[in-house]
Amino acid sequence: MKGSLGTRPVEVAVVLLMVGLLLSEAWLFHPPENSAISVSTTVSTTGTAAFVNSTLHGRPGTHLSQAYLWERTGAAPVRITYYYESGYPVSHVDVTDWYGLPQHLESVASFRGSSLPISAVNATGLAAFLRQTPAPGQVLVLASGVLPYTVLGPSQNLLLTWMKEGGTAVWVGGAIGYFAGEGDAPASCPQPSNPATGGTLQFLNASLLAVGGSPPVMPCPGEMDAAFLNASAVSQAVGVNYPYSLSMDDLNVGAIDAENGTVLGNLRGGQTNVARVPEGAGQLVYFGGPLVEVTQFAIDLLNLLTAGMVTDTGTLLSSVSLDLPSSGTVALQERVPLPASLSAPGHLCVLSTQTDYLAEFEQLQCG
Amino acid sequence: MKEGAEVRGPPRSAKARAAVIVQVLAVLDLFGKWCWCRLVGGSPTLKGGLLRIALVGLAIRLVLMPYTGEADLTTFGQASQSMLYGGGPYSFLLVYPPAWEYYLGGVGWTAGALGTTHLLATSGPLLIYNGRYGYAQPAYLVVPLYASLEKLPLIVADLLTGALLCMVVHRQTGDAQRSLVAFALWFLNPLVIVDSAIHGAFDILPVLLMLCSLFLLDLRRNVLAGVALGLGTSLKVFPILLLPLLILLLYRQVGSRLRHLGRALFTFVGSAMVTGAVFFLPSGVLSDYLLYSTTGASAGEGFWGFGVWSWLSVPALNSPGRWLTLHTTEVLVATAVLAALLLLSAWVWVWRSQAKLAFSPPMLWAGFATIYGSWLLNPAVHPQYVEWILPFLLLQVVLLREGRWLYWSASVLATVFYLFTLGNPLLFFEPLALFTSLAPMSFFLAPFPLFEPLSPWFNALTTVPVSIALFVSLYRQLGKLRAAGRVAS
Repeated sequence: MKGSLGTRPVEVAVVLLMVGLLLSEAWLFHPPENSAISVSTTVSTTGTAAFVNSTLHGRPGTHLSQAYLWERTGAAPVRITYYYESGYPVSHVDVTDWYGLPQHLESVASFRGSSLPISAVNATGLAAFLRQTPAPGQVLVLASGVLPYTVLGPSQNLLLTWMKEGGTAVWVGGAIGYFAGEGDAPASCPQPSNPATGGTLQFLNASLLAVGGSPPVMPCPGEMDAAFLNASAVSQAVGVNYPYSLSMDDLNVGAIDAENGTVLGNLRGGQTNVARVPEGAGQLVYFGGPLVEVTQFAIDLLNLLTAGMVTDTGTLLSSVSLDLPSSGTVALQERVPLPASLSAPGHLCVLSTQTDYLAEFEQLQCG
Repeated sequence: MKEGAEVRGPPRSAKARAAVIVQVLAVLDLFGKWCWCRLVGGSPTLKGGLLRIALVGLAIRLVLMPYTGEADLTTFGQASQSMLYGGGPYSFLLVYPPAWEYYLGGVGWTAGALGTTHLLATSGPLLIYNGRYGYAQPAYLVVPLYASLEKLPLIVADLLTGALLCMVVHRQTGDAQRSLVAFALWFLNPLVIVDSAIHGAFDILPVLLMLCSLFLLDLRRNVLAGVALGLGTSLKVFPILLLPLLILLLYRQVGSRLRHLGRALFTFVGSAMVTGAVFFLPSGVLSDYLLYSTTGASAGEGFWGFGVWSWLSVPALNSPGRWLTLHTTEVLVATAVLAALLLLSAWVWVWRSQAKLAFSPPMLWAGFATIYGSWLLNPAVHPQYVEWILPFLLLQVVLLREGRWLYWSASVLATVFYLFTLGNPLLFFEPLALFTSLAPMSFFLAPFPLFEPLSPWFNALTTVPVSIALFVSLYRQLGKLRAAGRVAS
């Protein structure tokens, strides 16, 4: 049956359906105001304390955290250098995740309305990069679990030297320094050519490692016998979900404190799975486990970067965690003491984070 | 914004939710009755048989639907979760065309509207196993409501595809019994059931739309055929591979008069392009899709599955497999040339055969060859991809009475691959432990260390025979196509 315009009713219905789909797309991906999170904050500071008034609004049941941070004045903006070279080996990391992590970092940063400069280096480029003097704000992300031979060998450890000169590196995957690899030669179970335990101990003192100075031979595939699910002060405040660990990588909280490091991850007994460990003038941010759930890992890392926990430019003062009630709105009034020990000049910042799994919302407001 | 402004009301009550579900079911019932009338007309044999098969197939699917799923369903849930939190279609970096992303957004939004905003859950044992075995084991599983919402439309698509195949056979043969066999072969096929009701794989949607496009061209409904092709391609790219075949078919149907041909092409191709534009053109979507689909999650994927590269999954052949992985560009160029030659030959022979019907023998052979030819370029052909060629094989079995062995071996071995070769035969059923008290998680995770070392061999034993059988069949079907072309010319 044809309609008056020479078309058939079904075709007309399909055209209308298409228009409806277009409108649905526009609506679906520009969510109505009441389902998005909004945070408005005002900060006033007196000599010894800051007063923070906030209104947080969003979908009922949303889990939020508000962290009060002391941000050092003059901290350089973060730029990431990312090591990736196809064909080089990985340990406790899937090649796809190693390749894709920068895309996830950029995507999460873009969602938050900020840009994150990321430059990639291959194995040769990494060696050249590490021979330069570390620049402020520069963060090297190593997410393959294996250092290339160009950087770590019997007579050289360019990464350690670079960090001691002030560089900041982030590590995730198999134990740092345990494997050193070259292109097209997959790192397999321990071989004589691998630095093994001695390599790991170049980066991490024996007192830091839960297994002590004689770590067992690293199994292949990795051994993971516990999930780290109890939040530490930082992981709760900043929103670090990462629950994984490899047993030889678990770090002692007491030793981290003794070395002036920071516990960043979750806790299990007296151990943590993520920490910032000082290395001379620089630092190593160590995720002691495999790279999995790469989107959530990107969110965790960006949360730590925004809070200044990676570059050690931020200090956590206190935090509040809350679940949005059925009204969807909470008003907070917090008094944040400013301890006299804060010697570095800086300012108070309020970091609001949605801590639900895969939630990308984060907002930093500084007074 | 004033404090307390735009306060949301309390979550919807169970009664209100039930009312919504009843409304949806009423609409589905109406639609079902309409389809029913169109499909079976007055044939009582067909009507009774279809009803029984449909009820059995639906019962199996609905039982399996809420508490099954693994890594892919988890990934879909993660994408939905990300969009529910306000992210765009590619905020989670899936590599699929945008219509599927929108679908997932819609599923997430629906779950949210029904009061479930956290779509995934985990447990300590699951986290430990995922940390130990990486991508082989999902650390998060989707909640039953999400699994059901994601799978329900796929199950409906299973049913509609079966009905369409039934209708095709009925139109071409007028034989109620054979039509019923076509429906049963599809709707009770274990691979089709596992794909939609357990895995939550969405391949059934583009398969249905691809078949719709062919069917609608036979009915001279060019606009609708174009919309179906455009929509199918916006879900997964493979239906577009059939475009040259469909254009050839149009030419044979319409004739060579330029005016008629131009009008037919304009309505068919134009509506396909407009439909694609609806999904691809919103700002940034196309560029995100191209970026992630060309550089994203497929990097580093090895050669395995049911395509022509299956033989490289034999554990003893890891070395050449790795060499090829490291030389992907050279391999890609060489196989692209081969695939292009193969497809061109198939299309030329279809042209010569002067086939005018979408489901005539030359079109069935050429359709199979076109889809399978694309697998030359695809190093990893997942079991759900077998569904792409299954309708062509099924129609060959029912209409031409050939290829029964191939149809069943591909279906059964792909199902066995699904259920036994991912490292743990109980993998798909882990949600039963996480969301019910029927069994402890350790029950589902315990076999993993046992099966993991056996997995590569199971993998090769299920995929390589199917791959060889499909390749031999391709050779034979191309031979028949060539012969048909010679006879006609």
